[in-house]
Amino acid sequence: MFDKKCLRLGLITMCIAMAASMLPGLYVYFRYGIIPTGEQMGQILSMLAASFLVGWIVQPLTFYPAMGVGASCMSWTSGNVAGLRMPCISAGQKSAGVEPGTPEGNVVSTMSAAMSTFVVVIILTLATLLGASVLGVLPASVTNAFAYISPSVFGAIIVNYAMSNLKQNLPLIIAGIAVYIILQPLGVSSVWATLIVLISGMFVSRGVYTVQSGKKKDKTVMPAGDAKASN
Amino acid sequence: MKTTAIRKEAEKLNISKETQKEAMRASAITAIGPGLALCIMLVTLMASLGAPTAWMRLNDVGSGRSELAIASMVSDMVTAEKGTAEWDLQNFSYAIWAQGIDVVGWIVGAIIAVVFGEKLTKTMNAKMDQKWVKVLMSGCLISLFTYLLTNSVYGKSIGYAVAAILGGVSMYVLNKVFGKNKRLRELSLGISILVGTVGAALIG
Repeated sequence: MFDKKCLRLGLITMCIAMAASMLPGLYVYFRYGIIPTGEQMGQILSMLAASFLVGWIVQPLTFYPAMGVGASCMSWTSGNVAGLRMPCISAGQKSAGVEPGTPEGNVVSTMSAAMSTFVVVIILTLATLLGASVLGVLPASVTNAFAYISPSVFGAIIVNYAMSNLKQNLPLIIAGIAVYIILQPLGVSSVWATLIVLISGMFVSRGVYTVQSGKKKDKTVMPAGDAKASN
Repeated sequence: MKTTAIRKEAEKLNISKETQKEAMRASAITAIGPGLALCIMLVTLMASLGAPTAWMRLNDVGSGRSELAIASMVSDMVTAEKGTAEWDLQNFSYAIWAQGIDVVGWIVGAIIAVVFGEKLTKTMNAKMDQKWVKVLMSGCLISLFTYLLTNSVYGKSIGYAVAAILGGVSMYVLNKVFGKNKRLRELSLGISILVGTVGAALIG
């Protein structure tokens, strides 16, 4: 029910966002009479499709299992999904002690995506109002350090997941790194590399799950076996 | 999504108000670091597209880098004489149309994902072992973060690896030593980001 509500509202807001993204172009047309010709529009479309088409389709599908309907709708409208929304969603889910992909996880991911959107809109609005004057005053050592935020975020998150269930998650992490390193020399694009790492993770998850549930079954059968042996 | 609808659903799922607040606080704190990093991109975009467009583009889908790339790609199509006001206006118009179309592309992709994903999740939950579905979902998330981590470190300068290691070590220490302290648990990712970033800037 909640997912359906999210889907309905999400579709409406995403359609509004699509229309709104065209408004600046229309404004320039009505105000100054400048707009790309039909041929130029075709060129723009083909250029964008060549560069981003695979990403447009594959990336939202790749991130969906972790986010659910509500957070997906919000995150793909407000952007910065990999470097910002995902860490925020992960932090929210961790703090609430819920699993991704569960109904609880989806509710918390929706809340977390909404909260991160508010925070970032405020930060960017302040930065826009204060302008380059304030940011320009910051020494290069500070602005250069901003590049280290992403690896810090992901390093912390991976350790957090590893600690939460080492037996289940460590094989996934090792496999993911190995697949990435194998794919790099082959020149696979980032979009396909993400998908391949994700799919390999699904197989590793299945393997680990099968081994672990097999062990659990053995343990539950053991007392009966022991009893027979003692008889 | 109406806040009340989310809250109602959360209550239905026995997620207490306190837990909801904790989750949102953790998310807000975590957003600060990456949000500040976006400010650098904002300044770069402001220089080429002006403040309002830069603000809009960084608040909608599409990374700052791709917005810049799109702006430079369309500049080859401008027919006006370079250096004139006409050139600026044409370039700006083409850039915002291209960025608008890019937004549409991402959103159409997202619509396909949510419609298809919602049906797939429902089928999986109805037909498959619930425990396995949980493991699978969590596996997808971890694989995704493993990719993002490796991608942000592999083949880059030592500073990036130092940031990842310090972020990880900091998270480990916070979880081990202060794991039972709720407030610190909320702040743990924010603190780890700070330790990783500052440490890498000093060492790397």
